[in-house]
Amino acid sequence: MSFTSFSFILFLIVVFSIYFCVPQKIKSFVLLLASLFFYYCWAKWAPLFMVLFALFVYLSARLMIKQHKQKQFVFMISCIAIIMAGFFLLKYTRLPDQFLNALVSPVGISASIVFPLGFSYYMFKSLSYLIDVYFERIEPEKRYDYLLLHLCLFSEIVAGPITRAIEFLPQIRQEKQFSPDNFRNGFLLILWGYFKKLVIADRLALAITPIFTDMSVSNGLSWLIVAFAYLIQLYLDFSAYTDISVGICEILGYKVKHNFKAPFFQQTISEYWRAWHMSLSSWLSDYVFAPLQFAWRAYGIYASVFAAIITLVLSGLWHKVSVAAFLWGLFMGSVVAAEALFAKKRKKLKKELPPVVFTVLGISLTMLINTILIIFIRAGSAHDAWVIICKYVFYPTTWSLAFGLGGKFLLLLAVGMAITLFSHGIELDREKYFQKYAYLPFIVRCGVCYAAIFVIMLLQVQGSDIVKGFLYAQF
Amino acid sequence: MTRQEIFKNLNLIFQDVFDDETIHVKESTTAADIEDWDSLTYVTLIITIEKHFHIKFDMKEVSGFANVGEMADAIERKI
Repeated sequence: MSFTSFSFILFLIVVFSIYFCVPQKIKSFVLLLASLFFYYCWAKWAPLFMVLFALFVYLSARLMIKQHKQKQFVFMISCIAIIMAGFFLLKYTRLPDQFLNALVSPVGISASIVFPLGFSYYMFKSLSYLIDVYFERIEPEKRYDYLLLHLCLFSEIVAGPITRAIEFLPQIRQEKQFSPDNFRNGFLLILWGYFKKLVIADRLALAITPIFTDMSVSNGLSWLIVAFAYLIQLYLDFSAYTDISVGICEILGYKVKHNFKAPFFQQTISEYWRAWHMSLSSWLSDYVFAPLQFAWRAYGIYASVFAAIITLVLSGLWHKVSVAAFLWGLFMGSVVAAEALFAKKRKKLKKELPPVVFTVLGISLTMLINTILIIFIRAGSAHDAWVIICKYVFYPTTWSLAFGLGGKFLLLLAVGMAITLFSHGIELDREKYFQKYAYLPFIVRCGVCYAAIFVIMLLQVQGSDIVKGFLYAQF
Repeated sequence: MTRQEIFKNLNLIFQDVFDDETIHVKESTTAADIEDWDSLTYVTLIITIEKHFHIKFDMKEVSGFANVGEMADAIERKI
């Protein structure tokens, strides 16, 4: 049941209706059942896996605090190692599949284990929960069902946001009542998300995917434009998913942090990573970068340099275990490291240059680095990525009409950029846009909603295998 | 060392690390109040404070400071 399917819309209507009719005491239970049902629709065995996984995390936290202080660290590391080993075995090997088949084949049954949908995301949730319990930032959760709900909430299970237990668990205990303001804000976010995904991002996917499949573009400048278009597609696709996810939580009465804050307006790569996929980048910053940086602090600024490189290499490998993803992380980490090393020189330059020139230069350079490096994530292999990078350098342009991409492609990219700019404007001050909408006359508000639904239904991309699901669900 | 003296020293450290003589830290100062305070400069700040006061923080303390006041509390306990 994909977020973009009609059955999901029906599912949402049923869940919202039941959720707001039942007493407060069982609201979390309704959400839990809905979440497990959503997971069941993906695979019949998935809810059982989730229940057992959450039980492991629940018991680990409770047993950890009962250990002697000196043993707690070893206990926490062991639990983290078990979870990560499970993740790697399921994602990158066939061992669990072979093990299960060896168990059930004697009785004439064949079985198959695939990587559980969203495991990457709830693994992060569980790790931060265990670390936060160890550092006494939160008490271990007493209610197993609350922890299970935190890990498997249907609006977050596919691709985040990676909400922290410290933010989510206290909200389960708060009174939840239907709020027209929450409904309006959530509904607008959901509509905006569907528009970005179904009308723009999927259309960009249809134009971009064949280019990467047959590697048909010959010159470097065209590849740069295609890479930039992919960056726009990735942003629109993932921010759309996040808007739908956060919108659902908003209606349910849960405040969840957004994943984006105008990433393409940032002036350095370090700032970009604080504004793109914020729930993951803040997770990596808090639980990987900061501990490494702190442990190596005797090495001064080089502690930040090496911690940044290792963190971004891990981020690359989380996207995909491949040479290309490793290179992406290495280059990204090197840029962040260079920014740390030359921070004072940059500050000096900022004082010398006019503010507009400094800002435009910063944004342009950040976008250029991103556009060049995103090829390592999108290209089929490190070899393909390297071929494209070589074209950037050795065949910059043939100056053919529209660089061989066609006017339709460029027009679509221009529309994508316009929507991205507008979306960034909203991200900088969501509340202002919600208020503006709220103060419109009732008839205009209805008109906006009906028009949006009509445009989405009329212009959505349909009937193509290329546009199945959200891009970040694959990670 | 009195709390006032700790803050006087912290002020000089902050001005040096963030290369900004206009900074004047208070009990309630947080990362949001100082333009260049990010995760990269934070560790430089911690190292400078440790060297200046001849103390050592642990990870739990460093990740738990909500503001400069709490940082000063930890320094006060250790010197």
